[in-house]
Amino acid sequence: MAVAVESYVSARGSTADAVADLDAQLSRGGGTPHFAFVFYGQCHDDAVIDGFLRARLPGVPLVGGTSCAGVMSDHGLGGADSLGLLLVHDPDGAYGSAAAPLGDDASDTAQQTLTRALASADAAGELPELIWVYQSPGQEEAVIAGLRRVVGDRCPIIGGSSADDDVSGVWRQMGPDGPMRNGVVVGVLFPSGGVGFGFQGGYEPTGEHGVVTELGDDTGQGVGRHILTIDDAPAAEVYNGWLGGTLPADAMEHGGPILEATTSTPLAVGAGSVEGVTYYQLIHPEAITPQKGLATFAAVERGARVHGMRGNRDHLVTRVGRVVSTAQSSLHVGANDVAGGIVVYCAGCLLAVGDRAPEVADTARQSFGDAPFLGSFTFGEQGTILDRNLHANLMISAVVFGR
Amino acid sequence: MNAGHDSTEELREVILAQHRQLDALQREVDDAEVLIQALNALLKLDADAEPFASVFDVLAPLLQFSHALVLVEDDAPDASLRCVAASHPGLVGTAWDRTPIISKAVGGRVIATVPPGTGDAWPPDVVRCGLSPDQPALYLPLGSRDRRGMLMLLRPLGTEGYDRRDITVARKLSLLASHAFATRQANRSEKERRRLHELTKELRSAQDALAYRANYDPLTGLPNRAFFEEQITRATRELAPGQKMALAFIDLDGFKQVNDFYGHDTGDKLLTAVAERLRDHIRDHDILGRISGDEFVLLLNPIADAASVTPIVDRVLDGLREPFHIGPLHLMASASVGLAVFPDHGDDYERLRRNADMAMYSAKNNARGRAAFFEDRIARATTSRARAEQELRRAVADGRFRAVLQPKIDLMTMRVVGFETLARRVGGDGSLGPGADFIELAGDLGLLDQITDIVLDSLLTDLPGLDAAYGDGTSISVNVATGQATDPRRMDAVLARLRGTGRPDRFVVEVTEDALLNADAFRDDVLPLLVDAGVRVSIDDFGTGYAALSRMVDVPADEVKIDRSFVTTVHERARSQVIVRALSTVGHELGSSVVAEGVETVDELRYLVTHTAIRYGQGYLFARPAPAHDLIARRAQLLASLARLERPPRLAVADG
Repeated sequence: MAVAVESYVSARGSTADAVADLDAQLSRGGGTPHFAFVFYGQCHDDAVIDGFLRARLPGVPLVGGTSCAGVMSDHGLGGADSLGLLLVHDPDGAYGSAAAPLGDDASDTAQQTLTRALASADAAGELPELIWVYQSPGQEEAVIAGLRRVVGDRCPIIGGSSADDDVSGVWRQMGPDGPMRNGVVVGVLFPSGGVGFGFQGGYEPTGEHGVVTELGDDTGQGVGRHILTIDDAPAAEVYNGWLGGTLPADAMEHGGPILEATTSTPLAVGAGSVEGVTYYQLIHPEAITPQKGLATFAAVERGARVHGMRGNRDHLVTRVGRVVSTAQSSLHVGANDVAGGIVVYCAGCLLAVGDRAPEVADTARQSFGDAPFLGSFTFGEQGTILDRNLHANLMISAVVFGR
Repeated sequence: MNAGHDSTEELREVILAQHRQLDALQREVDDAEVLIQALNALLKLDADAEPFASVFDVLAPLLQFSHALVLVEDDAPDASLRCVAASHPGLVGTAWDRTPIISKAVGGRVIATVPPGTGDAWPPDVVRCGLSPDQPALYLPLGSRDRRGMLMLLRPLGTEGYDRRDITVARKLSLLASHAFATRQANRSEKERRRLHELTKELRSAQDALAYRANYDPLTGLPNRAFFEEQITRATRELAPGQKMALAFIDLDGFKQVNDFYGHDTGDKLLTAVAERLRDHIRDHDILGRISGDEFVLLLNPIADAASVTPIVDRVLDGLREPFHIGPLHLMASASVGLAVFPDHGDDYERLRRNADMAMYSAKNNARGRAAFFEDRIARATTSRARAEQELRRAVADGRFRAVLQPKIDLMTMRVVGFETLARRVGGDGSLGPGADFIELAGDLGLLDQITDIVLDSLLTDLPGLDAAYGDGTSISVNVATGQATDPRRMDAVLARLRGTGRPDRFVVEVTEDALLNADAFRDDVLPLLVDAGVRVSIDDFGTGYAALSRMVDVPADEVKIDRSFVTTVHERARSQVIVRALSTVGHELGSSVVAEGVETVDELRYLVTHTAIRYGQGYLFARPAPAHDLIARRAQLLASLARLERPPRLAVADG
C-alpha cells in the first residue's frame, strides 16, 4: 500500500479554536496515521494541544514543539499563531517516538530515548531509515553524541531546536508523553516508500578566517559555545574587524546581544570537502560576552579554524527550494512519487529574509509540487553533512517521503 | 551541463550531488560485479554441491562479515528455524527460536542491528561457537516455493555495524540468495538454470550500462574525470623508471560566449565536434577525456621527452583552428593548452593536474590558442592570481568602487556635452585603480553585476553636484559588459535605476561590438527596454569587434565611438585616416552621432576637425577621467583649457 501524507494548519486566534478547526479538517482526512509531526507558535497552550492529540491521534508516535513565528506549509506561511500537523499514513512501514527531559546528562538521555523510540516502533535493536529529533536549544551536540552512540553515522539524524519568537526561552517540545520545556523528542522512521533528505546552508565564505585559540566558560548556551580568542586576539574584536566594524558599538563596549546583526554574517567551520570544495557547518554568534568573546548557538573546538561567512537574501529565499530538490533526488524517484515532507528552516534565516518570508513558503511549495509539507522555524538545526551527523545553525533541511 | 551558477554555495551543492551520483553509480557497478560473480559461481556448481559456500566467499568482501548463517523454517508454521548452511560448519544444524527480529526477516524485511541489540537469547550451541547477539548483524530474507528462511551476516564485536547502503545491497542479495536457496530445495532443473542465466544476463547488461554511466561523459563518449584519474594513476604506477608521460589540459577559448550567443544546444554540438576533432589528431594509444564544461585532458603516454610533445600539441591546436560546421553556422574555435610532464612536474595525478591547469591559464592569459609547459614561475603567477581574486571579492563585498567621469566634447564649440562613466577600484590608501586592472578578472569571477551596481550608486550620488556645475543637459554614458547587455533581466535592473533619476533620456548605454554578435537577442529582448525607457545606445570601441557591419542594420545605435587605436596619430597614418573617415561615414549615414575616442594631441584634433565630419571627441587632450568632485572643483580650469584649444575650419559639414 502506498504511503500518504497530509498536512493541516490552523491559524485561529486561540488554541481551543485552532484545535477545533484542525479536528474538523481531520474529520475530512484519511484515517489514523502512523506518525505525526506537530509544530505551533509560542502563543499556544501546550496542554490543550496535547489533549487534542491524545483524543484525536491516540497512540500515534509524534514529534514536535514550538516554532518561531508559527509554521509554513503547502498552504503558505501560517503566521505567528499557526498550529500545524503533518500526518504520515504508511501501514507497511514502522514508526515510533519517545521523549524525555534532558536532565544532567543529555547524551545518556538521548541514547536511552532513542532505544525507547525503537521499542515503541516494535523495532528494538534495528537501524532506522532516519531519525527525526526535536529538542530544547543548548545541548544539541550532546544529544547528537548520545544518538550517535547507537547509530553512529549509519543513518541520518535530522531535526531542529524548538524556538520561540524572541529568544526569551519560552520554547517547548511536544512528544508522545506530552509537552516539555527542556527535553528531547526522538522519532524513528522506517518508511516503506523510502525517504530522502537534504541539509544545506545558504552562506558563502568571505575569505576571512582564523583559529580558535581559547574557549571561555559556558555562558549558558552549552559547552564549546563561548569563543574567547581567535588567533590569540579577543574573538569579538577579530570578528568585528572581519565585518568592517559594523557590530553595535554598545555590545562591543559592554557585551550584549548581536543575534540580529550577525544573521547575514555568521561564522563556520569546515565539515569536510569533496573534489577540493569545502563544506561548511555554520555557527551563529548570538552575543558578545563581557570578556569580549563570542557566545554562539553551536559548539566549536579549540584549534578549529573559523571562517567568516556572508548571506544573501535572494539565496536564503531560493535555497529552501534547492534543499527540497536535493531531498527528492536523494530518494531517486520522480516528483510525482513524493508523498510529502517536512522542512526545518532556521529562525535566524527567517529574520534575515525579513518581509520576503512568504516567498520562503512559496519556494518550498513550488519544489514540493502538489505534495503536502510542514515546516518549522528553529533555533538550531541537526542534519548530515558529508555523511556525518552534526548540529549547526542557520541551516535548512528537508525530509521527503516516497510513495 | 553548461549551466551557470549564481553562487559558490550552489556550485558546492552541484559538485556534491554529482559526486554522490558518481559514487552511487560506481557502487552499483561494484555491487553488480560481485552479484554476477556469485551467480556464475552458482551456475557452475554440480547439482549436489552446497551452493552457499561459494556465495559466502564472493560476498565476504562486499558486505564484510565474519560469520554467515542460513536459517530455514522447519516444517510447521511458526516453528523454530534451523541452520542449514554456515560459513563455519559447527553452526550447521543449530536450532533458532523465532524471535521478533527473525520473524521480521523471514517475513521479508532486511534489517541492520544497532546496540544494545534486541536482547534476544541465542541458542547455546551458537554461543559456544563464540557468537553473541551483541555482534553487529544484517538479516535478510530468503524465499522459495514452500520454505522461508533468512541469511544472517555477523561482524565481530566492537566493529562498525551495517549501514543504509549495506541494506540496499542486501535487498539485491536477497534475490540472489533466494535463487540459491531454491536451487538447494528443488532438483536443479533446466528451468532454474535458464532463470539464473537470464538473471546473469540482465545483471551483466545493467552492469555494463552502469559502468558506462559511471566512467564516460554522456555527451562526448570520452572518459570522465573520475575514470580519467584512474587511468593516470594506473599509468603512473606502471611506467618504468626513467620513462615519461605528459598530461595536457585543453581549455576551449571563448566557449562561454558560444553558449551565451547561440544557446546551449549549439554549445553541446560544438563540444561533440571538438572531441571528434581531437580524437583525429592524437595517437591511438593516448587517452583523451572530458572533465568539465569546456575542458578536455589528454594523456600522452609514453613520451621521449618534453620536446617530443610539441608536434602532437601543435597538430591538435592547428586542427582546432579549422572551422566547425554546426548546422548553418560556421564556428571558429581555439584552445589554450597547458602541459605537465611526469615525473618532472609532478609524480601523481593531483599535482600533474594542478600544474597542467596552471600552465593552461598562463597560455590563455598570454595569448589564446597556444600551448605552454608548466614552469615554477607559473605557479608563482597562479598564487598571485588567487590573491588578486580574493582581494577583488573583498573589494566587492566592501563596496570599494567609485565612478569617475570623462568629459565628452563638442569639437565645434569646445563645450562639454556629456560624460562617460568609468569604474575605478578604491585602494586601501584611497587611490583609484583603473578598470583594466580588474574588469576582466571581475568578468571571469561573475562579479561585474555587483560592481556595476556599486558604480551606479556612486554616479547617481554625484549627479546632482555635477549637474549644478555643468548643467543637467549633459548626457551621461554608462558602460555595460557584453554578457550584461544581452541579459534582459539585468538590463531591466539597470534601467530601473536610471528611470529612478526622473531623466532616463539623458543616459546612454555603451555596449561593445561583441554584444552585436548576438544581435537578435539584443534587438529583440534588450533594445525594446532601452527604447521604452528613453535611454540611448552607443557602440563603444567601434571598429575593433567581431561583429559584421551587417549587424548595424539590425541594431540602430544613437552613437558610435571610434576606437582610440584608429585615432592615435591619425594625422600621420594614411591607413588610419581611411578607416576613420570610413567609420565616420558609416555612422553618419546610419544616423548615429560619431565620437572619436582617445584624442590626445592637437594634431589629432586638427585632423579630425578638418578632414572628417566627426562632431564629438573624448580624450586626454580635453580631460582625463576624474571623480565628480574633482571635475566640479576644476570646472573653471577645464573650460578655460578647452577654450584655448584651436578650432581650425572644418572641411566637411558637421552633423546634427
